[in-house]
Amino acid sequence: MLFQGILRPIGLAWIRIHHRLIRARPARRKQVVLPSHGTLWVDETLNFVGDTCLRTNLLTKLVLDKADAGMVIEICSDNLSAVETIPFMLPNCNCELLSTMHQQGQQTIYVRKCETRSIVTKTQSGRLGRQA
Amino acid sequence: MSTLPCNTVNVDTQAIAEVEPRNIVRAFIVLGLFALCSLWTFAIDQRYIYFSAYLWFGFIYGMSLQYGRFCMASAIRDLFAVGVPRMAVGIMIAVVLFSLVSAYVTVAGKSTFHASPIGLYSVIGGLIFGIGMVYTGGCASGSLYKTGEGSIAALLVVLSLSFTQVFFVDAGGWTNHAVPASWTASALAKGLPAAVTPTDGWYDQFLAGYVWDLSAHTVGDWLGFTNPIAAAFLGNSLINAIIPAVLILAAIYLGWYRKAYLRDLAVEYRGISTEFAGYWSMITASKRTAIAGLILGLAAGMHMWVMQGLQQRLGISNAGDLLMAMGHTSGLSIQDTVFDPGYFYITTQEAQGAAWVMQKLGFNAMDSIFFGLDNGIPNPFLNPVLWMSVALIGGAAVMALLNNEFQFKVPTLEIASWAIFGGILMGIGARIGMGCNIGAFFATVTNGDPSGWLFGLGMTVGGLIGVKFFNWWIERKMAKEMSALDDF
Repeated sequence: MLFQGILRPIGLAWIRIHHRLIRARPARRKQVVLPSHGTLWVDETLNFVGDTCLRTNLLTKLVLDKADAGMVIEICSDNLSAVETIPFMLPNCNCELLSTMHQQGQQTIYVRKCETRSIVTKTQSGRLGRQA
Repeated sequence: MSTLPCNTVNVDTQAIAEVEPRNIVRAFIVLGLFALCSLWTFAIDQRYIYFSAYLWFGFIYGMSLQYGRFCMASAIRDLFAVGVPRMAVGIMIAVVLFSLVSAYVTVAGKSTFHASPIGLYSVIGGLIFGIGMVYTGGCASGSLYKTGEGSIAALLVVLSLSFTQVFFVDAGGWTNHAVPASWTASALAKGLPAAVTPTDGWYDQFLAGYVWDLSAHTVGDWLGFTNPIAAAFLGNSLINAIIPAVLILAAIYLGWYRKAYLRDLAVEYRGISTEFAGYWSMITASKRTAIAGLILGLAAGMHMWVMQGLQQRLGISNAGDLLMAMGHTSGLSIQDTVFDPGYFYITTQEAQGAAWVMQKLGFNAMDSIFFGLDNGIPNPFLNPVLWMSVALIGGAAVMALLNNEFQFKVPTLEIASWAIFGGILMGIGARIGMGCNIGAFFATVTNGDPSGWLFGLGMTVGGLIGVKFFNWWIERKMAKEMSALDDF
């Protein structure tokens, strides 16, 4: 009775206010300095610290597939297996690896979605050719 | 660097992670403990060298597995979930090398391998095991090496699959209703000792009434090779391991690697030579995994050689003989044996460890065929194969420490729940399939036993089902979170 009548509405109201506050907050982009790439703006940060490799890799793939061209994505993970798989995923997601950093027990990977995609086409002679 | 904006992270200075001196000290402490254990037990009784052999091979396995992030769950999951074949390729490399070393060891008369019966049970066991290992995020060997990296979730998997095996093999009562009458009749006809209650419990009757009635052959025997060299190298290695591995690699190349390779090809396409170059590029894409596969394959073959050599030197055919001779008779099976495969194995010794704990709590697991008749429940300190598992964790810890990769990781409740649930499935699958990704797949296919491919098939299909389910679960969860946000 107490839960249904008082506590539940208060709880729901708090969740709504909390979500509104989060959504009202302007998205914070951050800058990073990467070796051989200089200073870059990070458009999206994915924090998978503590997550399993499957969840890390699946969610990374989902985000990379949906990312817009030119976006820089920062992926944080402490799962070594997942971290080492990500660079191999990138060609299929049309992304390039910018850098991998080892920082305080976790790895941070910086990835950029490529502008254009190479397409494999069959030429008239039947040989596979490359087209931008 | 002081001119950087306030929200700029300077990662330049942290790009190179040097090994911390304290981690080197810790690695040497772990290594020293195992060395001390070996020397101390050898000083007490030289026959403990048999235990130490298991220990040091376990240590090598742990280091190799951690170095290459070698994990069957990762192989299947990466391939089907994100289209990355590197781990599957590494495993196939290990299969090819282990099979060649095994063939040599067999020809030299030093093989400890015994083929498993061939039947549908391998596929079903592999299927359940495969689903479980995707949920946990690691196979049986993968969970052990990740425990060595400090992952508490992986430790939960190991504990979960160990205790599940004990309950599964000893469950009686209501489980008898699921036993076909033919299994009960067959189990009864074998005249097994009453102490193991062969007609009480699903698993006892599954073993005695079904599995034992199936035939077990290596491919070399099956094809009728009379020359032992032809049987080992042509039948067991080439036909059962190398050709299937090469074909699997070709399928992986065509399905997952070729398209991206040709897209990024800088030179002109030259037909078959380009295809072979692509195939080779896939094999060498991850040097770390390939090197780990190479070391694992060689070490696993050498392990059999050493264990058989020690058995011959000590005049024993099973570690039970050794324990008896040393005056340790507690925990031996009715046949005075203990689990002693003589090669790389994971799950059975862990089940023995869990059963020993349960025995101390008053649970009797010795009334089962699995423990009472076959494997026994020795004290963990006197279980040579369990020494291998513990050393595997230690070897992985040393390698992780030397690479600054050791870190205690406490899982969230969600991940812990998946670890325990997946571990339960892995425990059940391992017992139905008569082993795990190592004992029922890696060690079997490489020794000419086709039942390993049946387990591998089940494990792959199970892994695929697990990946599909996880994908659906994650997308559903994300969609729910998004719609909840939109509702406000």
